[in-house]
Amino acid sequence: MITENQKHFIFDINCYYQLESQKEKFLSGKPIDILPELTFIALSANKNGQTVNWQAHYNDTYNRLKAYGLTDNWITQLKTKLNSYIGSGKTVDDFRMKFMTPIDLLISMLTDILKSVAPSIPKAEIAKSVIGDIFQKNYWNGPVVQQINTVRTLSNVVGFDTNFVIEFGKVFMQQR
Amino acid sequence: MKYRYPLDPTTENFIFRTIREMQDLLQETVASQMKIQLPEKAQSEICQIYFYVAINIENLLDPRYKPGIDLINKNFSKQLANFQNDLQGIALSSINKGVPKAYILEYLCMYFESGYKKVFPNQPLIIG
Repeated sequence: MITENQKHFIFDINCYYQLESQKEKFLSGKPIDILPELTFIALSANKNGQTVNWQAHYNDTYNRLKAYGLTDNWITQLKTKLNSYIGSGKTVDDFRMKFMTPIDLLISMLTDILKSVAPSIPKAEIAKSVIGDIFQKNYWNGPVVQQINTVRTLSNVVGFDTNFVIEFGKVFMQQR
Repeated sequence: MKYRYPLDPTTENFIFRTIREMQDLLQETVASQMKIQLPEKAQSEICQIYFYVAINIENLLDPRYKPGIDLINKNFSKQLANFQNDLQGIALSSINKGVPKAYILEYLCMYFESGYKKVFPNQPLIIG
């Protein structure tokens, strides 16, 4: 079970790269392409009778990512990998799927493990240790291997380094 | 497609133009209000929702179309009221021409389907 703050954290990450991919459009006043999280924002604003200012959303989302505890290095790596991914002709929707599928699985693994760990151990440490093992250890056996391989696609398909995933896990676990 | 009761070509053309106009207006509105551009699939779904709201059967739609219903109600209430008037007129005139009352909703759907397929030939209907 993930908390509301954790949901917002994931939502904001998705919004951020979806806006990043369309920065040129909104900076030049052009309408942007519809993407899952951005559609939600657009519809919510419309429902409240507001006109959407994507540039303001982009800046606000960046500030929120920083406030969650993500570093500039993390955000830069997200942007770099996104640009290289879509630069190879793939879509942002595809990037979202490649990003969110292993992330959802990782979150589920982390929250499952958390249930059996003493509450005195800091959550960020649990994330660091679990994610480190997922990427660096090869002692996995049985059905979990499939899950490990899926989480590893963050590295071997999307191109993020292990520290990027560890930072994500640590910050995610710290959201209450 | 052969319908049980033939469609009137003038009405058929009117519905086609209404859907086309709605498609244009929808694109203009989301571009100016929401600063987004809709792909054809989303345009086709919202144009269908517009019709289903107009004939008051939007409750039959899958819950995932709720944002589309809100979008129509929020931004196109004036057009919706006009469209509902037009559809009522078509319904009454069709009944006067012998289309049974019990069949009238289905008959209106035939008009919509005919116009819709011309505007969005590659997009499926969300309720069949």
